[in-house]
Amino acid sequence: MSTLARPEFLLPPAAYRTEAWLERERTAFFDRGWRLVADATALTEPGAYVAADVGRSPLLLVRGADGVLRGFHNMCRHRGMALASGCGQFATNIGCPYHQWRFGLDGALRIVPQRSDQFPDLVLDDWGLLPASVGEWEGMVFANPDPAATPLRDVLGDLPTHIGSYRPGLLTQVAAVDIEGAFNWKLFVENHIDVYHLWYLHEETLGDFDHPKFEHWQLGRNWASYEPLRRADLAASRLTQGTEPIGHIDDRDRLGIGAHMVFPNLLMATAAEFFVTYAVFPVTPERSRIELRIRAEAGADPDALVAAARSFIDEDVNACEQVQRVMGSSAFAVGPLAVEHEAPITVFQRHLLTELGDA
Amino acid sequence: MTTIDTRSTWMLPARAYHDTSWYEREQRDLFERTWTLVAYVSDLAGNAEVVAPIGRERVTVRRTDDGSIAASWFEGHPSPSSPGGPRRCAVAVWAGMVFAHLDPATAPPFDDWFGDVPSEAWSGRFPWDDLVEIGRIRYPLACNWKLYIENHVDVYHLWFLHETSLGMFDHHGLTWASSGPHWACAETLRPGLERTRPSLRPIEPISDVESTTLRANFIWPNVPMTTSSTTVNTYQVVPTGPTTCELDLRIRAMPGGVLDDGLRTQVHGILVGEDGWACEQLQRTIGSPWFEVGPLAQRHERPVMLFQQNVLEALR
Repeated sequence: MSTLARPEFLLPPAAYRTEAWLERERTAFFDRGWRLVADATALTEPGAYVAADVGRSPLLLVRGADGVLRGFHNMCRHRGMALASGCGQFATNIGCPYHQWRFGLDGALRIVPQRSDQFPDLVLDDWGLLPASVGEWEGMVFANPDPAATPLRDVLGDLPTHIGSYRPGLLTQVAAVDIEGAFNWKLFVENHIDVYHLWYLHEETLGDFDHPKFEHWQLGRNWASYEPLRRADLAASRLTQGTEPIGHIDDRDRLGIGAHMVFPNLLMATAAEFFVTYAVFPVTPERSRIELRIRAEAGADPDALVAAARSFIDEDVNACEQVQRVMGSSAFAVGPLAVEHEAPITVFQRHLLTELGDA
Repeated sequence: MTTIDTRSTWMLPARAYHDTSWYEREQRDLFERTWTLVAYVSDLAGNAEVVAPIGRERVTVRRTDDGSIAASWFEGHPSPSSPGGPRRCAVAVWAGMVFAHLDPATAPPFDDWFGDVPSEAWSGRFPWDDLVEIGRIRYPLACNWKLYIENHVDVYHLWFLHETSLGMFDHHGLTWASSGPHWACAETLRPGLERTRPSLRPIEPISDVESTTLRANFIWPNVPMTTSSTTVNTYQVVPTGPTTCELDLRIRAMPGGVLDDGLRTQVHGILVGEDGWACEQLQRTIGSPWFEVGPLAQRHERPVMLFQQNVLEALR
């Protein structure tokens, strides 16, 4: 459990409102960060692909004929055309729709139309697709535009050993919902790691849980937490009433919930019935998109699970939008923070400033 | 076919396609210092006025009492009560189109600037005055205006992006040429093939060669112009922001021609569904810190380089 003698709110209002600050964040970490881009089942067959933007970079993930999952910049090496969108299946090569340069599933340039006439000096080996990094964890595929990125497993660090008995890879992604709101992305992260608000903002939705027994762990830049139900007889908690619990988790997880964070923006929540990721991304300085992905037992009712997750996420979104509104006031100021329950906010902001070179 | 041995290369940085300060420089130093298509003569019947952008300014085009065409603007103050009154533009007319330049004192003579554009070799011989506008459509696009021009002057993409829609033309026989910053190209129908446009009748009189020719010209800085046996089209690419533009398509044909659903679909398919889509895809990738362009086709994409050189020259 982390306690700071004097937790402080370290960021200025401009960090939540200005394009200049967001541009620094894009450059410092979003353009070179890991993003959860797909469920692994979308990329099992040779030739299967998923296209997704990470930061400002369109990327393309392709399962090769050799079974290897590779990441590329989704950019033809000729004019920079995006090679594909969405997800699907390539046959034997990746063709650019603009001028039909064709690349192998391994990214090597294979065919340039009219090459001898129009590109007499071109050496195919020089123009393979630019590589990007890929990583897989528990059935979830991540991508990073930087081919020399810190490996995903190092970014996750000790977090995988702090999610209890959950094995997300044994679950099925049953729902994918994007939620937009009028708030800076950091407000949503800070709200997620704020223990203090559980008693009040979520008085109804998370009222079955025993907040005084809330445990949390600062794992380098990441963060994990757990709290039990107030009484075991609340097992059919109001949170996910009517949905089937996950079969493989132990009693501790069946009778509690978790909330975790992979720095800077990948949030997770666990309950007896689901393992949820919800990464939050900046759209503008004052607008963000939450990518909610729900993993549960195959056949679980996605509508019920989305409703359960949104019961508390919508409360958080609403709170963040209210804070964003007042941040525009010249009188805006943050007072003292709770020494234990809000300490993770200070730690998060400290790491963020370090990333920006402002530590 | 123009044969050039020099290597073709991409000249512009990625920020030229999304940076606000670059966009503002273009508005000021490129668009406000060149001749621009501002109206069609047919727009000016009676007392009609046309207000058109030249860079950051808005030019009003109208007929004067003596029947001539005039254009004027108010520097930074779009009000008739502005100090100093309206400023007069230099004006020129060709093929039913009105061109204006903000500053008659520094404008190059239109005929000099226009170079070979009006020649028969360049634009064909069309009965310009007999044509009527059968449709005007504006298409907003999420791409920088230069991407659309570069696509227009890129010969290499014809085989692939337009494999079906323009497959009836003989791209291998295509010829192109430059005149100042302007560009022209022409290709003919492949033997035995035709392009059907049932709602239009052939333009007359034109030569036999012209009746099987598709011209895709470019009038600097932002007017692609195509001619065929049935239509004369311009689709001015009007910048509306660093990453957005609007095509202002104007279709002329013989009187009685109709812009029916078939023709509308055909035109939209090529200009927006294919070319516009490609440009919007390029705009997506061009914002990546990893964006880069590789080698260009030495002849087929050389016009892209020439256009970019002219952009850089205008901004120098």
